[in-house]
Amino acid sequence: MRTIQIELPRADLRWGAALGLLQAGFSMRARAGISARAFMRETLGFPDAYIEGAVSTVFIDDSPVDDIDAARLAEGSRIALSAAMPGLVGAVMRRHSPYAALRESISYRERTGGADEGRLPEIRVGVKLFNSVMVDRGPEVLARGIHLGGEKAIEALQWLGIEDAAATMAPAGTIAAKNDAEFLLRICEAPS
Amino acid sequence: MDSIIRIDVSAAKGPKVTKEGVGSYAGIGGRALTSALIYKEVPALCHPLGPENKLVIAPGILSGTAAGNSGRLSIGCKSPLTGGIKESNAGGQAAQVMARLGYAAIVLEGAPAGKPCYLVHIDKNGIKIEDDQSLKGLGNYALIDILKKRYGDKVACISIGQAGEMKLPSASIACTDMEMHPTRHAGRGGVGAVMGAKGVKAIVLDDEGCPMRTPKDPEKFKAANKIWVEGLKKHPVTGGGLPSFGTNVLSNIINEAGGLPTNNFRTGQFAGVSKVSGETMAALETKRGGLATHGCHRGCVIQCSGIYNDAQGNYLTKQPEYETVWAHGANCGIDDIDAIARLDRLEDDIGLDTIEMGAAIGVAMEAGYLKFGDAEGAIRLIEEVGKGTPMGRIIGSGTGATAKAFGIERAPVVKNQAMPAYDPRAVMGMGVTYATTPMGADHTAGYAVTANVLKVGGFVDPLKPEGQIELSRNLQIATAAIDSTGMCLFIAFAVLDQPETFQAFIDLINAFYGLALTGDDVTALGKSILKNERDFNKAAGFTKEDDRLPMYFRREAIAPHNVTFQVKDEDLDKVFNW
Repeated sequence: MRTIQIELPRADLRWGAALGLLQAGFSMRARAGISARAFMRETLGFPDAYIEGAVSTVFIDDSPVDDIDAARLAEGSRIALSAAMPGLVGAVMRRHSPYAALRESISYRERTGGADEGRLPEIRVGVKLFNSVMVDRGPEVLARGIHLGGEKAIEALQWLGIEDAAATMAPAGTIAAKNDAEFLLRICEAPS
Repeated sequence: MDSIIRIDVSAAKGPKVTKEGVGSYAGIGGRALTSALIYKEVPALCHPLGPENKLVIAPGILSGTAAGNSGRLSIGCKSPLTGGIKESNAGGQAAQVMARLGYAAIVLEGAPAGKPCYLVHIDKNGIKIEDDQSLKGLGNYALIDILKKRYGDKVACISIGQAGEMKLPSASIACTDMEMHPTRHAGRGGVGAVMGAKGVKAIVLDDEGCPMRTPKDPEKFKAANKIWVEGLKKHPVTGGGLPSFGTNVLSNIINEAGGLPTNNFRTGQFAGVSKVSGETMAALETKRGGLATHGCHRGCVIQCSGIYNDAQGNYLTKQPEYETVWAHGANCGIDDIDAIARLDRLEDDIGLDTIEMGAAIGVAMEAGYLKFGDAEGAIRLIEEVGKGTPMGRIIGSGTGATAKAFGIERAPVVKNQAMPAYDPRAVMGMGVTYATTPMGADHTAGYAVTANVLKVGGFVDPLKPEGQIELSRNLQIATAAIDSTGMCLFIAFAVLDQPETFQAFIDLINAFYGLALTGDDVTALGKSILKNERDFNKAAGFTKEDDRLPMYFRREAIAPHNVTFQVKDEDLDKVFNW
């Protein structure tokens, strides 16, 4: 897997676009069977206090999650993380919301083991970071590196204003990135 | 706020102005007052555009004080859209200014002879009304430019655009914000049409020389307000998410939940959501020299509004709200945030409910009149509404009318009012509120308040399905009460999570009026408001069959969860059984 590393000065306006990549979705690799809480802690690097105090809303595969220790990720799971949201529906979607009954039919339910349970040492998880979580934790997540498929990686680089993004990704003499190729994109703060 | 102004536009020699004491409406404000007055004084079977209907404009009981976030205005009438009682709510400056002038309500009554274009001016010296035909046909922006030149930039204006003059059922009433832009709207239910039917184009409120309203116990009020404002600032929603990203912070979340109605409520997720999300919009506003954090009225602590500039950095519109971004975005398959902002500007100018317009355009797209995703087509349709073309009048008559004109079953309406930005199949509890609130499909009718209030009168396990009915009932009660105070509904998050903030809310009211209210009294107020509204609707001919979602929500499952609306009719009928 090829790594693309970009350094941006702290005041560079492209940080806005960089963080914006996180709300559109990316992938990370994690250990199989990891809980949602452990994923946030180990894979994304969130401090425990931040998970408890700030990540009020969690979705796995489109479903709002209440118990982030019982919820376990599998190959292809999609997790989305957000701060507390406004509106009745925002309150309804929160972890352990007193209004959870209002979304009872879509709430996350524990699954029994899938076909790959225990056989895959590592899984690929789709991730989205929203609102304050995107802003607060985004720089560290970008520094750790996010996985993007070929076309998405080209789009990401174009979004960052990197001209001729396809050429940036393809070594000279090889074909341009294909949709099934995967890249690790790291965006770090440039040393001052 | 011890006076009510009544303007009878039927009077033989021109509008007759009467100033009277509040009488039997003493001690109530906002929605409590508008619903009480409409229930008591408007014949439920009247035509909404006829002389028997009244338009009541009322600030809340804390408006015009130093209390944080107390600047909401309620506007009530019999709705031309739903045919039932309506309270429509707006931010902006008008509530604060009107309250400081000492008026608990302005009531427009009767119907004019001819086609006047009344301009009403109210200051501490009195009330003047003139028929100014030069204002006829103006959009809200051009109108306010003229009024600013005449009266200065410290006044507050309440006005209608072309849609209200045409008496369209989707017409809104605009209130100016702190920059005197006509961007805060009492949007729902066609209140603008009733103002147009009374021949009133604009009301200018000037509180120069009027002091802030004084509490009975200034020390207790000041202490309560300190805790109140601290509570709003420290809460992660009111002090974090809302000021940073605005209400459109919800787009990503509701989409993730599979509850973002897309392509006329066909599915619950929109592929283009990240292009129009609150996060994207905030970054764009900042890049273009706009503002991602801004208050719609003085005294607002939450600051969830913003200013949206065009690509050249010039002011275009206020930061579009979540409902507007959804209505013209996902619901119409449009992922162009600039196009959505242009639609927002147009609708503020013409004076239209953005939810109703987005839903109506979605139906027109389903009918094949436009393709889903056709942003320029959507803009042309709204321009037609402003011009009053035959197609414009169809769209301007709302979602239900548009569906009828095109022979479409799938009109997402309850009591003929378009559903807002939460699919009722994914969030069934919201569906219960859509179905049962007297207002028609309304997302603000059942809001969250502290668990203390919810537990008054009994507590039902929220994990059980029956909990949805109980929760919807309690939330509607609490919301009705908040709507009476002039407080912005977004205070609900802080009072939900922070008992000391809820207590500060009660203490503010008690200290201002010298009362000893408790949470039980808040509940009782909410119940009395809902009773007035339900009784009015019953007299207007509404039955339990009107407390239902359209049948196709029980038939069509929505992706990704593949759920239909499953709350039984007999359970919907239990919401108001206290």
